[in-house]
Amino acid sequence: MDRYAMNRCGRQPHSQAPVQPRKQCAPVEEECKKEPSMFHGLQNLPVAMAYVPCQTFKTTFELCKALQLGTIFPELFKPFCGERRCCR
Amino acid sequence: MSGNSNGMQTCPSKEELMKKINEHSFAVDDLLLYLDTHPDCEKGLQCYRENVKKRKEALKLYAKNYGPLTIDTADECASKSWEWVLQPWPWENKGGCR
Repeated sequence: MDRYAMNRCGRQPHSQAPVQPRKQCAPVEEECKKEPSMFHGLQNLPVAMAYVPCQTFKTTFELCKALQLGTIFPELFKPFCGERRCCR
Repeated sequence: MSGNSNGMQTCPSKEELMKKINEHSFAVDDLLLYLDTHPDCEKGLQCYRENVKKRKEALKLYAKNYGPLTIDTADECASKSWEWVLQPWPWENKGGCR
C-alpha cells in the first residue's frame, strides 16, 4: 500500500453518499491493479526519440466507473502509483 | 428515496437520474476530446451519438419530473409558471453544489 501513498487512485467508497439503488462499480483500486506495465518494450526503441502512439477506439469503461477514473478509455487510465520512483 | 411516478411513466429518483446525467455528460466530454483528434472514427462518432441521445433523454426526464437543469429543457414540465427561475440556485444545498 506504500506505493499508493503519494496519490491514491480514486477516492474511498462514498460512506456518506445517499443510498444508490443501482449496482455499485467495482472499487477503483481493482482497476489500478490491472494496469499493465506501460514501460514494457521500451528497450527496443531508439534512444532520444519521443513517441506518442495513436489511440484507436476499442472498449470503454462502464460509465459509472469512467466517472470515477476520469476517462472512458481503459488505455488512457494511467494512475500515478509511485512506480519506478527513485531518490535524487 | 423512492421513484416518482408521473402519468404513465415511472421515473428514477432525483439522485439516480442526476447520476445518469453526470455519467453521460462526462462520456460526451471525453468522446469530444477523442473525436477532436480522430474526426473520421465511426465507432467514436457512434458512441458519441448514443451518449448524447441518452443524456438528452435523461435531461428531459429530469426536467419533467424535478425541474429543468438546462435552459433548453426549461419548459419541459409544461407548467403554467416559469420553472427555470423557481429552481434552487447552484450554491444552495438543494442545488447542484454540495
